[in-house]
Amino acid sequence: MNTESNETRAKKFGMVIDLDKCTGCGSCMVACSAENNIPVRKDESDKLLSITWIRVYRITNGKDFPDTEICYFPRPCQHCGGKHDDGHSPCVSVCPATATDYDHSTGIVSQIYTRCFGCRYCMAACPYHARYFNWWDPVWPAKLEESLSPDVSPRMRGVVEKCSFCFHRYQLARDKAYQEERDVEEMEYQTACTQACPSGAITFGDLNNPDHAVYTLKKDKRAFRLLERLHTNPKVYYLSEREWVRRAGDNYLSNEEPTGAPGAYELKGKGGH
Amino acid sequence: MSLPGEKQTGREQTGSSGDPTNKGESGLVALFFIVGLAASLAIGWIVFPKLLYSKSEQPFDFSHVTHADAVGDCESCHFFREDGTYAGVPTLAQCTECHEEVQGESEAEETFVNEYVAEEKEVPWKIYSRQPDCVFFSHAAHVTGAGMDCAECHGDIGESESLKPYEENRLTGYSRDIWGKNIAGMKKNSWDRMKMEDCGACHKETMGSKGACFQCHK
Amino acid sequence: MKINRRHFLALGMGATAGTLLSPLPWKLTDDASIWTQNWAWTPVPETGEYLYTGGACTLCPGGCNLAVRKVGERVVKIEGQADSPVNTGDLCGVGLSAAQLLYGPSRIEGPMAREGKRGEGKWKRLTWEEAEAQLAKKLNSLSDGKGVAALSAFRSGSVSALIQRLLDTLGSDRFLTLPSLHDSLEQAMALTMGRAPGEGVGFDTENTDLILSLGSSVAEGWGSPVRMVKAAGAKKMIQVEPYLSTTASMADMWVPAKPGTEGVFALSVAAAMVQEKLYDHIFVSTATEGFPAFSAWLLENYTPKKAEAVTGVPPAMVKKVAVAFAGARRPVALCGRGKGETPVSLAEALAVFALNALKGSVQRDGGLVKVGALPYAVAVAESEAMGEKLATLTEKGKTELLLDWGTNPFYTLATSKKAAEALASIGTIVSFSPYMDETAAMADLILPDHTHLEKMQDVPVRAGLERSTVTLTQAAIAPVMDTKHTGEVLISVGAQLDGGRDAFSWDDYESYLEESCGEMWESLSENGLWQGDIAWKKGLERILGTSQRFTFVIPEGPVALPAEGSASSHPLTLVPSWSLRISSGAVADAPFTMKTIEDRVLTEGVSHVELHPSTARKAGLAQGDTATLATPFGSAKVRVTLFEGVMPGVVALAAGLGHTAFDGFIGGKGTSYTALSGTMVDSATGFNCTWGARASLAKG
Repeated sequence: MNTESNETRAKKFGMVIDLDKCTGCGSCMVACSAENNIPVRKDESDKLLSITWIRVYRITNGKDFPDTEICYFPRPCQHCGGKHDDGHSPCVSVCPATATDYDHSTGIVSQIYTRCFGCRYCMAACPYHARYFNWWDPVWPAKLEESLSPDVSPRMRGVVEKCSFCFHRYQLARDKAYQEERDVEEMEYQTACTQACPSGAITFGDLNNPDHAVYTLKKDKRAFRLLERLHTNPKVYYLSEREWVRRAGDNYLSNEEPTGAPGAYELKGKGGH
Repeated sequence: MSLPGEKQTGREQTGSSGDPTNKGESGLVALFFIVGLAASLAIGWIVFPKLLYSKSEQPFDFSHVTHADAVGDCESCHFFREDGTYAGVPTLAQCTECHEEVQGESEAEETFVNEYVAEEKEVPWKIYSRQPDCVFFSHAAHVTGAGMDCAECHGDIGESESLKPYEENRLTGYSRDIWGKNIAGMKKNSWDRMKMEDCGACHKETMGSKGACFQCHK
Repeated sequence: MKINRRHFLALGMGATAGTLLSPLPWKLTDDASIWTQNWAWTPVPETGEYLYTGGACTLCPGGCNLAVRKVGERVVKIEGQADSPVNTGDLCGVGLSAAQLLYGPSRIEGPMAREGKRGEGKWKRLTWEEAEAQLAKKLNSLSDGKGVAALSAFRSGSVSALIQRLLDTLGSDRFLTLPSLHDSLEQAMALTMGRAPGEGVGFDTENTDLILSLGSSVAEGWGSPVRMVKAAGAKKMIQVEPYLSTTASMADMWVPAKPGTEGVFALSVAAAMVQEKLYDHIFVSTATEGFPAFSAWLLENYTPKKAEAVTGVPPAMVKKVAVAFAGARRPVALCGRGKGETPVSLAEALAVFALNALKGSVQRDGGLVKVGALPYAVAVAESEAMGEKLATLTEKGKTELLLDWGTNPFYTLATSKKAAEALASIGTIVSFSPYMDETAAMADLILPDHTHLEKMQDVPVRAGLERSTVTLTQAAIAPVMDTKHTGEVLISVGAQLDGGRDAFSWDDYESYLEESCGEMWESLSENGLWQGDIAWKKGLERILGTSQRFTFVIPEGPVALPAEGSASSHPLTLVPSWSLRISSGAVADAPFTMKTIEDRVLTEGVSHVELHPSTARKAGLAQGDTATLATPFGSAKVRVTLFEGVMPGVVALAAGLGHTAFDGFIGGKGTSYTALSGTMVDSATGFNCTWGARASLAKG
């Protein structure tokens, strides 16, 4: 694992998803699939085998008709920073092949597909089910191979894959910035899901940069992160006005009281360990 | 002759190396050792590379010198697009800008104009420095960003009069230039090898870190 | 001297030492590990220059502008065009996945004629000359020109005009389009506000502050999907429907009215506004006619108390909605269940017009507005009595030859077993579909069109935008298959008809396109989009204040259409549920979109029905059970998903599944809601306005 910083001012790319705006339309999933050469199967209804780097889950408040409510939870890789935000992410810390590591210069959990030998330890370690295993070689029927993007290397049977925060888009934006001898602007590096989202529920940027929208949004009263109590320190924040949604984000039991502190929706007193 | 007996003899002999009656025999043993050593060294250093790499010629010859003289620099043909991506080996359209008709007298140019320009067929160049698909390499970051010279990675290809045969690793399908000409992987110059370790070493030296996976992988 | 084992051992040791001192083992280990990572069959996408071309989506009526990303000569990704006023850089999943349709296994390779039995899938490839000659010959040998009917994806536009021209030449008046909500709305507008041919109805949702949606899937694809999804996330909403859809859940208030009674509910809200004097007195007294009679009729028939018997909505809730609607600054009421793909009864459309008028929300910012006719130089005459003409398609023996350009009637109009059989009995079926859809699969002759990524063509948008809009598809890529622009085919075939030479005298489609688009062409060819002025803000009408004239009309036909069948045999009510993840129109989902369908909607090729736990208990069903869903029009095997958000007594089935053609990635997945939904004909318009069907659900 590499612990040095690449650049003087480290970036920390992250995402804020407004669940009150999300309509569960699935654009993010499709945009992601097209952007990242995600393989397709004839039967995509078996969700154990279907690969979707960002998956939109659906939850309900459990109340009976007509007080029922639903909420959609888009779940990309959370790009966990680990307990002290030192790169000790659940998946990175268990990979025996160093096929996945934590990029201290961007905060992105990166990976090398060809280096993975398919032990799936990272999948077991990931509390967010963000990692997917290629049980078969991807097959692109008819001329579908023609639609593959050269920006992301197609994976092979036997390796684990997951959301990369469209890192190749950062690389492309940087190429352009180098050419024009300037820095990458906030809107130049946006993930495919962010770009596609019709309701504008997803905001993406550098969580360390006060000029970026996510910097302010992550401190919103409505902000919380998934399974905060595990101290995985995810870089994906969620926003919701709805108390039951925020509770669901950390699997609160009905008798538990969340503190409601912005960005750290933790339990009073007892920690999660 | 029983097996345990022989074992015993063997032990005795190794135990008494100074025994003069065994001198000739141990010399012979050494000879055998040397023969084995020499043969395997020859196989490993000479035969193995020949077996490992297949050799093929480029579609036709090309002189970087002639072209560099005509156009002035590398960037005229190997340029950056406006979006900062690197165009790589020129496409047929680029070449045709000059080579619509045969200009010189070389056989190679004739082949090029007749077989490719006239047929509107892209030239299937074999690229010596082609990295595998899983590698992301930004020319902009290195050339524009870090101000590196082409030669630092590509050596003196710009001064070549003709194209060397393309050698392909039969196992991996990689060009020989990735591992380097030296089968032991020894390098004298920065452009002798293009393996991950080489990228990593340079990054470590100049930037303080090898970088994370995505720095170079896609 | 004897050579013994020791010498061989020495040789071996020497060889081992030598090998270890040579690069062989180290290099081989490295190479072998690389070899295991690079399977020859893992594709390596070719790189090249990155290029974006413009375009327009035609996969639904929404009219979104596209930015097509190409690498070299390949299309790798579809995105929304950032500067489009329709979709501002965003796109729905169906539109995004079009590259998979373009290159997918559903594409038809080229012109083909049927060999073997209809629907058997045996084809003979033809050249384009042969195919066009075959079609011309068939059209020339019709016994009666009236026997030919044509279904067009658009009501106006250059290709539609050619189709109509073809029919005119043959002497047929059966130019048809798939009916939609807008057919009802336009008829209601004609009665209440007056309507010139070509004029449409729009909803200015950008400037509204409250959307009262009468069963419309604002968040799931009603109107122009991207635009409406934005509205759903930003605007206050009141949603009326029996199923907790995403729209209902996002709404500030969900009114679960009984299935099919949304129109009655609208009238009860109107009555409450009259009763409580909540309506816009100034507007009603100065700009409207017919209010006294209309209000008397309302109070007689649709007071919240009386309506409750039909809608099941308590009067208190009706009043709450009336207060909210009247209290908003610029509210707008919408109708059209689901994505608006099915018309509503004329009475229901009139109710919604009246509701908007009571608040003065017509012909103003944020309201229901008139949309100007498209200034095509080659116009399409509006088909009279389209409802009845459409109905004859699904009657046996009424159609000798059917042309289908992008409507896929074998999926979209096959509302029952009987209807499907009638369609299959049509003498000759000619499909222009680029995909092997249900209609192409049943066709006698296929003349595949380009997809919207391979051709240039105008797309008239009829999706409730506040101003008239036309977009332009562009050829991002050379045709992937041996396809030909349908406009081109029609010009060529038309000229081969008896007496058709003069009517189809254009050299090619492209020159015709420019001519037909008239004054719109400059903007279309430059920006890929043409938009008219906001009609009500224009010119004399505004100055005279006559743009807002409104007549309250007491509808003659029924507001809520009754469902066929008896409560004893079919005790439940089937309603569709809508999702942007499932394309419910003529073209099915692409593989990527199939990925997004939840496993509570579809598993192992079987559709799930959602029902309230109490409904399931009564039927003796539990979560995950396999059951038979039957309506008077057909039946299907389904799986049971329990969901508290469904009104008891109601069964919800996702619309848009159950395609039988296409390919293994798209077809054979689930059940078609349309095939079970049957017809509910509105006597006032003749349109099938079905909102659901009586149903039964039995285990097994």
